[in-house]
Amino acid sequence: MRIAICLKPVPDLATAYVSKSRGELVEQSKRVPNPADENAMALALSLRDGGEVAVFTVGDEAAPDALRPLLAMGADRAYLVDDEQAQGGDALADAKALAAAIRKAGDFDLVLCGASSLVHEVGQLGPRLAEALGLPHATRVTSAQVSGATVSFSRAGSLGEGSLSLPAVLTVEPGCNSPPLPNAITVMKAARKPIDSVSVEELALEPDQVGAAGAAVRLRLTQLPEP
Amino acid sequence: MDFTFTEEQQMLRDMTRKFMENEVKPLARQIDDEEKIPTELIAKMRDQGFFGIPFGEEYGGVGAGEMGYCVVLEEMGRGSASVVVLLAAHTSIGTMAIYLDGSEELKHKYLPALCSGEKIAAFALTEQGAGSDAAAIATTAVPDGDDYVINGSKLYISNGDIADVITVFAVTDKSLGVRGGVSALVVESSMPGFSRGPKERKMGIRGAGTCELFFKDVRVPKSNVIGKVGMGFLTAMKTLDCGRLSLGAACVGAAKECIDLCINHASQRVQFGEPIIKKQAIQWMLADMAAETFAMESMAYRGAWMYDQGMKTSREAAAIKMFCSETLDRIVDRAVQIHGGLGYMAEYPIEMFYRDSRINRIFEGTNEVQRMVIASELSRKGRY
Repeated sequence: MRIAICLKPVPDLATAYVSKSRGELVEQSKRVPNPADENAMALALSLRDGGEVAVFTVGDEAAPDALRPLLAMGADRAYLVDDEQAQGGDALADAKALAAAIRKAGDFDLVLCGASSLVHEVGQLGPRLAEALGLPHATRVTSAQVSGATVSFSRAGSLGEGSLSLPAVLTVEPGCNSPPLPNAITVMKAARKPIDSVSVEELALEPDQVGAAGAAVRLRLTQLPEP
Repeated sequence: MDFTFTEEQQMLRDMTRKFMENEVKPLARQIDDEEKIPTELIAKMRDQGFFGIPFGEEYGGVGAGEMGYCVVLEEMGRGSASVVVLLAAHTSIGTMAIYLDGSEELKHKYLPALCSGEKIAAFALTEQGAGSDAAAIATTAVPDGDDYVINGSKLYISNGDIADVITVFAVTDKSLGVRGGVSALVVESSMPGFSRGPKERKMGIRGAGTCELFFKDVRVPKSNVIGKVGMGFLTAMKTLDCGRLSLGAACVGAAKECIDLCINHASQRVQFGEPIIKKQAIQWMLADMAAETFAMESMAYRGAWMYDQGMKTSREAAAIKMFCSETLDRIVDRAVQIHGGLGYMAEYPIEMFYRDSRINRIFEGTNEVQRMVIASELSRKGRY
């Protein structure tokens, strides 16, 4: 199985805080993997059957901080769309960039990502990614099995069960499994695994399709609810 | 100067911290009460690769060097000093002696199993009559054919209760004294004539096993000598230098954990109408603790960096061990005071940190010995 994981580097909420005066989240330490993407990684490891797991992300120079933990968990390689033009995008823009990067890296049987990100919890990336790739998708998957060219899965709550023909996109419910803790040896090996840098030009995308220019949503204000 | 940790070191830190939070901290009180680290936890530590952190990959180690090892020990120091001692006695003295001075044959014979944690190591130097005066050891190793026959006993040996592989220092030629007459040998616990005493009951680090070891006509092949015959004392001193560096890092972890616990408590404890963290007396204690911890952290990692660069670090290691152990004692004392009565009660971890800290000024060479090492080098060099 060749499995692609889409990772969103997110702020470390243990140390970040919301600035009232600036109306934005202020980060104080390095980016971390979106927790639901770690659950997606755990699912990928259970399904890989000796194949390959590659991680894709759109990010800047802080992104490798979030990529390396997934490499330490067992991913084989990573691809980072770190072009400045790709920064600041929303789910629509990022889905286009990630879909292009995945297509460029070859054929994948399964594309997984977290069902939602820790910070905004919009949950749009997976469905938009599936549309960009022209693949069927299912959201909020809690467990899955592959048999031949079919993936069967259970979904969160009362969403029930289903199956799709491969290749397909699944979004993975946060907290549905226990991502493995890397050990000291895999941590050291992760530092040597390749992170390929990919530009917007290499992806044959126009600047207005990605990044802030390609976003349909503009973030105006971040604030905490009044107590 | 680049003071940042590498990506690998940061990932080792994150991994160890998660392990401590999820696996060790919940058991810290049980480990202290029952005076035992559960075998299941040791197995999980093995799975995490904790037993081979500084050693080369060619021997089955993780290859993270002294810096990586100090990062791991710092994070472990936040959770359980007993677990720290299990790991440190195994790694930075028990196994390290073989790693530093063993022949390639000896290293390949023992290091893979030690690095994986399949076997646990101990370092047996101290005796009834030879503590700070390590040169006064009386355990003998007498050549007999292809073997040495060891007779004697060792006292207060960390991991003595569970060690499979023990680095033992014994007199091979009394006439030569400590320079030329002491050798280091690898003894396996399965060798006939080896036995252990009961576990000592201790003030702190109660989960780490400490006991007496007995050698009665223990036959050890000559190929198990570490380095050259008669050079054992140098091996001991080199190995202890290494162990002292990382003890500082463990003290840093304990100090940081105490500070975090104090901030948390002082932010919630209301007296005289406001949280006590607003009181200057508490603030000044916290400020002193933080400044001292910064000093400990700075010297511990500088020492580890120097070691990984291949620089001589005997004086620095002694200074780190001495300063960090004494500073941690002050920090844990203030931590008890900030917590007031709660700091004295067993329902809260502060009193464990207080009791666990005290040994740091004694083992790995007492702080008086550390001062001897520093003063001796200053005198020899004639300057700082």
